[in-house]
Amino acid sequence: MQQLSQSLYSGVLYGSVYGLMALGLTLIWGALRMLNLAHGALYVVGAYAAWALINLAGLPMLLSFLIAVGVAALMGLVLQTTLINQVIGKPGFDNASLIATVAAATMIESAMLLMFGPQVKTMPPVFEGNLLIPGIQLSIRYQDLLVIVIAVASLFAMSAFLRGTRYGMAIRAVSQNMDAAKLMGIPAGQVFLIVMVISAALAGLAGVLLSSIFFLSPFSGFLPMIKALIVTIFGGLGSIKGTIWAAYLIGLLEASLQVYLGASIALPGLFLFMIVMLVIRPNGLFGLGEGRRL
Amino acid sequence: MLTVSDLHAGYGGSEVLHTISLHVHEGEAVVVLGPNGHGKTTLLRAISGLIRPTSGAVMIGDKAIAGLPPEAIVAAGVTHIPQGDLVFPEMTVLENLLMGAYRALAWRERNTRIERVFGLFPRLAERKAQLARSLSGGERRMLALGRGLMGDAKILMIDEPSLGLAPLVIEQVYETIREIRESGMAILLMDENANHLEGLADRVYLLESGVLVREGTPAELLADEALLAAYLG
Repeated sequence: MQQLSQSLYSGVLYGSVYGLMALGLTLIWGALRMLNLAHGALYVVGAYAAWALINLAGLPMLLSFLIAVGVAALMGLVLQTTLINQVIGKPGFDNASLIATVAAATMIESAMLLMFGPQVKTMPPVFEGNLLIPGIQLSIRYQDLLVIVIAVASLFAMSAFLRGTRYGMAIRAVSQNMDAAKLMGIPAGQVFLIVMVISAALAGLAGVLLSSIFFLSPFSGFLPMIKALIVTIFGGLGSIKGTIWAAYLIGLLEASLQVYLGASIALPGLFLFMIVMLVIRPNGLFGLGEGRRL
Repeated sequence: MLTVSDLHAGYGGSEVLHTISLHVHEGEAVVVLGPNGHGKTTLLRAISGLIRPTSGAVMIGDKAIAGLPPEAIVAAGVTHIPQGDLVFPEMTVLENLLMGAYRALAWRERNTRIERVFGLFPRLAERKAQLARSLSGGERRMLALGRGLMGDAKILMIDEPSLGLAPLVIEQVYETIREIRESGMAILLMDENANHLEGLADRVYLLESGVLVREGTPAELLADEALLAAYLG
């Protein structure tokens, strides 16, 4: 019973943060048809920005979080305007964008290494203490609750933005049919920029939130990015609903593997699961084919 | 209103349109007749900026629009209504229509325009919460038309409104286009056969193998027996 409640709790916690990471990846895939391998680096940018603002500048934590997300968003804007715009719409975009984003990731991570050194950092929790749930002997840290609340609220906000606003709908329109979107007068380049900035902000937020639970190093964005990739593939690349469901399923799966079989089994287990899943449902959980996205 | 002069366009290295010149006056309805695969859709794509013309000029009034990005051409007042496959499949009918009013000026008027479109196509009103991919071919066609009416068009360019539709629906669609025309909107319509020229077209061009081979009034063309044999399906 305690094991079960522990895996549910961790699963929801992981799933919420993976959802943030994966939603960013899936938005970019949907609009630009690009796999952004700099996504993990944007996570690290957000995390270090928050760490520096709290520990070096002495700003209040929640304010630092907010600014850090802004810094990650700004980095997304720089990436898009200096790098992605150079290769978009040109022949060989698939390969060029992969190489360009790996290069960007390497540069960003090396910059973090130079600026902050190789020692891992820890972010102090916003709230100390635990909430004890007696019947099932589960102890929930207030910090984890905060992470879940912020992540879920952000997912709801994103969903409302994409469904209910002019710009949000334009992002979905571009993802579903580029030519038709252009005929509506939707400027594709502007939409790409908005998508990149939002996606970077989400990665930065995930970095800020997870770094208050795990250690932070210049390369700690890599694993969350890989897991977010598993989530987006599982959820059907480009599908928002699928991505969010998949995030929680993968989070729960990882937590259960950790609790019942041990931490070293969790990651290989996830990969095995993804391989089996790709054999059974090549288009992901919700089975959307090309052109049925977002 | 719309003037196309010496337009060349194609895909990759292969040219589809050779030296196309045509014009549409204010309030005029012009039909371009041509068999499938002879460049009708390419002509519209070249005017609306989905493909870049290799040479030639396209003017709206005295504004040159050839080579501009599609959003600038939409802003100049050109609305290209594509075939029904160019709807947004995972958006509802209502959301599809809203995208037609994407530009800021149109967006402010979106609610009154949706009412107008629902007046023209009651079927769309019934299906407004449905995803576009669940619509029938005829309904998608209506959706593409209705969506085109949501913007601030000075000229509507309509690509083969009858393609793949049941006869009854075809009549309905042309009836709506006639109504739109009577409101004074300039129209450039691509069609495969001459069945619907009467009461709709002021002038007709014939497009064959990427070249405009003839121009005339519907009466002139309908008087030509050889032509009728080719274009009356």
